[in-house]
Amino acid sequence: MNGDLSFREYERFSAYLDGQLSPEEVSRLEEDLRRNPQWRLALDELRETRALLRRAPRYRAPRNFTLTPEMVGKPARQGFFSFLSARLATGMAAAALVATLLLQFLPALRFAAPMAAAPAPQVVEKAAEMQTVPQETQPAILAPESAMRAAVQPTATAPIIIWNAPGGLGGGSGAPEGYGGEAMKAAGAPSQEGIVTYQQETTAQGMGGGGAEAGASGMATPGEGIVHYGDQPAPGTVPPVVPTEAPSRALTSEATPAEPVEGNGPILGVPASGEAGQVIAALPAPEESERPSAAPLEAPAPFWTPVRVAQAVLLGMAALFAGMAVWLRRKG
Amino acid sequence: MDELALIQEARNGDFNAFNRLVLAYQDMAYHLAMRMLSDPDQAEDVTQTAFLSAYRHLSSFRGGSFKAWVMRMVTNACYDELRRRQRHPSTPLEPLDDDDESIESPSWMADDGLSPEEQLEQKELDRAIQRCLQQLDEEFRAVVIFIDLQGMDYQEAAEILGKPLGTVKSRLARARLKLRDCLHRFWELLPPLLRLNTQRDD
Repeated sequence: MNGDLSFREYERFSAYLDGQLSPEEVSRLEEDLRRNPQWRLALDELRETRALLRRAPRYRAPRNFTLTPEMVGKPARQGFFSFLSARLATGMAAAALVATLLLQFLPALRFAAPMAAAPAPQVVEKAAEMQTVPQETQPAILAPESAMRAAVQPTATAPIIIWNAPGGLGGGSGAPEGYGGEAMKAAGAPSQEGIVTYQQETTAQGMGGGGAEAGASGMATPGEGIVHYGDQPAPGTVPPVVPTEAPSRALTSEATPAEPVEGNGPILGVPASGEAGQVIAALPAPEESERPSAAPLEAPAPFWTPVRVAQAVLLGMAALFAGMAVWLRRKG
Repeated sequence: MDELALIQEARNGDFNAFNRLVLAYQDMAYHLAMRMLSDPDQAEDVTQTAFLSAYRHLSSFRGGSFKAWVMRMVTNACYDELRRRQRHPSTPLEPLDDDDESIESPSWMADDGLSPEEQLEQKELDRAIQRCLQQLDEEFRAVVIFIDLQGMDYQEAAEILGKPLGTVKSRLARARLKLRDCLHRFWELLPPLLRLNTQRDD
């Protein structure tokens, strides 16, 4: 019935009941009510609602709210300080967290620097030295242990050892079916980092053994860690999981091929029965005094570095301040 | 009571002068807080906080109606409490007993000189109105409390709320419409004398 009344009309009714309309507005409204008798029902409902609300009981103060000197004497900023403390604790927690993340991700602040870049120039130097070695002296000089370590270390990955690679990867300078030689040197084989290839049979398809060029090519990309074992007796006695040892022998095989190795010595496993205990490496086993050159890599870094300690402290502070912030906000 | 003189004395450090103002307005302040918050404890806290805040900010009173100024502080304190309650919704809207029923005779409802029947009517009406008020937005609730429950005029309510007269008028009309619909739902609960006599088509 009253659905056709707009809110504007109800607003007029409300003001009319409170005597807030001007005499002209009152006359107009009363004229509207006469022409629209159904409006009167809406007006009456609103009038009764208003009357009901005005009959609602009033609450009286259960006690006096007068102030005492103690109440006024308390610093009014207690709430403010509480609010400020909550904000401060939140900010401190956030700052501690950010500092922790900065310590984690800013490389300049980390102590774990030996992981990466430093050895790289050393590799180039060693590679250059290797390239200047005359062909006839190569068997005698071969690759120093440290040179191979330098060649392999930068990759930070263990070299892949390929035994009896079909067709040979290295190949001599004239090897028609090999990958290596000049082609390898030219291409630089950048994607074959850490590959060590053992070739048991000395054939035209074998790798390496291509003279100085091949030897140089093998070392031309020392950083890639490619080591060719071609025309070289299989280092059956080479310990299977010593990546820094195998490459040193590999370099020796680049120069002058020795007698082919017969047998079926495994790559990384147990040597053939006939070769067990036989020393076939061109170089004598590195003395103990030489081994320490690889020690820095193998020595595990201490877990609690100063940065980690600082991170742990900062994380603890972040958790503490976050807890304080939550507590202060709940209290406030 | 010369309010301006009391205010001036309070500004000069007369503690008792301000307390006389407190005594003059504490019922009104508590009633507003109670209707806004529907919680006696919170209403007490808010009232006390508002008077304390008024005393500390007395220097910011620039004249005019002290009643409007202090009631504005109470209103703002109620808004703050309602926002805090929204963040931590754990307080019941009205005093409940162990059976989750409204307390029949809360100590804070005291009307002297009423017969038991009249007291019952008052309780039922109070309960219905209080529930319907809680369904209003706080701005609408404040307007209808000032004008219908406390009997202020539009101008006074506008001054307390810091809103234009037209806004108060509009909010009041909307609040009354909503309360009309809400109170009809309590129709059977209201004592016969208090029932809305108008027949509705819906």
